[in-house]
Amino acid sequence: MKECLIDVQNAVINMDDEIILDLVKKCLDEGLTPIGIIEEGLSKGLDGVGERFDAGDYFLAELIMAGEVVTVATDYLQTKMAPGESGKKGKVLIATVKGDIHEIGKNILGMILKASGYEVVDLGADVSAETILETMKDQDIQLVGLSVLLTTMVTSIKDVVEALTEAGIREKTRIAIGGACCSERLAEEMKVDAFGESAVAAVTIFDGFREALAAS
Amino acid sequence: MARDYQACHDRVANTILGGIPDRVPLYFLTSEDVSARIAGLTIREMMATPEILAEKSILVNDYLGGDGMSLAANPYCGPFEGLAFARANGKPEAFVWKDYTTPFIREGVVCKTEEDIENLVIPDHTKVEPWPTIFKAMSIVHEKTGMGAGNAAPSLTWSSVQMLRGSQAYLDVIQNPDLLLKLCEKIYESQWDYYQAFCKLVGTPSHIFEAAYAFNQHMLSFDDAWKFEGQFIARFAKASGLPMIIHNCGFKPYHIEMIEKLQEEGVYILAVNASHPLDLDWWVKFREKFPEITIMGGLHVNAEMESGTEKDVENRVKEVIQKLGGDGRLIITPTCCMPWRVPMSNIKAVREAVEKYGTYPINIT
Repeated sequence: MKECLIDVQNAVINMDDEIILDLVKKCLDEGLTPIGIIEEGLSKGLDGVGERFDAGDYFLAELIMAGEVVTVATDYLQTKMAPGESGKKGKVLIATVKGDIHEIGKNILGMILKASGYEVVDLGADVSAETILETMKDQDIQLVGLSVLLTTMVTSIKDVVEALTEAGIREKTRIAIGGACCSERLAEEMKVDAFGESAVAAVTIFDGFREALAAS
Repeated sequence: MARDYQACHDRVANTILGGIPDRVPLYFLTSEDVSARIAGLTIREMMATPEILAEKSILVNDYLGGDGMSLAANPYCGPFEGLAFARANGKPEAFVWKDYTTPFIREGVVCKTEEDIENLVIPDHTKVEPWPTIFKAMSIVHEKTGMGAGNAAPSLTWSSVQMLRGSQAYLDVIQNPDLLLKLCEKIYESQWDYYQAFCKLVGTPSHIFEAAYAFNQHMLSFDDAWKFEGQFIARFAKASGLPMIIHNCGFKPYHIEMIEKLQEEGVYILAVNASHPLDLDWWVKFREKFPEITIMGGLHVNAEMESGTEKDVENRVKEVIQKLGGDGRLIITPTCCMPWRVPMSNIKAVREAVEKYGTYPINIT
């Protein structure tokens, strides 16, 4: 692997927003493609951040900072891509469920997903099942991330699942949940496809969803 | 059957002070959801006057049973501190009222910019609603039942930081910690104003109920949790001279490290009210390490209470009492706030299981 890509990875891991653009430009000068830089440099750097988060060495603050560093770099690389190239993994709809207006977790999820190459459609907080369904239909979205912090609002997740089922699109979609009161058990009870304990875990989950949907 | 308020009070107090009561106490944390459902009023209707709030709080607590008494509003009252800040700073629209569930402030609206933090106005808790209504309701409940119904501190620092600053707070941790500390200092100032208003309008409390949300591994490092919240808890405890009950319903809490550090600082911790870890064997070890601290918890509101059967509830209560209740220092508390969809039959099942298995001396085979 070229040294400049390793430098990009390290800049992401070290959350160094001052040098990231110079490093990305250096990679381009050395003949690497924008998508190659995203996949081998930025994404691998984010993987490193995720490993540190899982190990308890990094926390939310570092995740957000690293996400910002990657976003700056990917926004720049988008301008250097050939027509038709996007480097995007597809759309993910994210929302805090009806009745809950806590947005921090959802915002962090959005930032990390965006940094990981997803186009994020953020509907905000206190979003009804109807609005989620409508947006998914209008924008042809299959992937959904629902955030809920309040123990009192978890059943709003079920409302979304039921709305998608009634509309006949549940089987073609994948839903992940996350937030302070969520768990594997809750995911099972709410009949969603996954529980993400962190924004880092969410990236792996949505990557898996994409593969599963592509294979189905 | 009417509740014997004195017996309820004595059961809880005796347990927290290390004695063996007649049976394991049971404490339901009321929330707007459950309260509105039982009272048949919207949140705003319930909070329209101190008299209504007090009356409905007594009604709700009596209906739930158990040994507790708290306002028919969020038990830690954190969201209302957000409302007071929003009003004091001319942004009342940042607060979102709900008819039948807990209202909250939109995160990050009140302190969106650095200037907002610099110019943040501390609410006068004797004047800025809903605090005067809440304080008066607490007094009425106490007058009518002899039981304390409110907290002498409105949530704590990190909860308010998140309400006022939103996700930007996490970037501030790295990029602008001094600014964040300035916000924490202002929030502390507000908490102290609240405490003084509480003492003036309700009376001197016996303890402080604190929420320590920063102390969760999925949020902050322990050092940052201490920097942006722990030091303020310690300062509050020292300034008030009161012992504390620490509430933390995050799923990766730093209970052990936090308690050790607070104790090092001279904070007297009466009890820990927590939802996690769910593994009761973890709490058995906690009990061995901190035999003098009362454990408030044992039931998870979304597990047994909301999704379980009456038998699930009974079995969990039995196991909790068997493992943690033998020598006192246990208060069964579904944690955190109960969703309105918790079946009333499960609430009844908790009461019955506590009566069945929790009578001292504990004898469960």
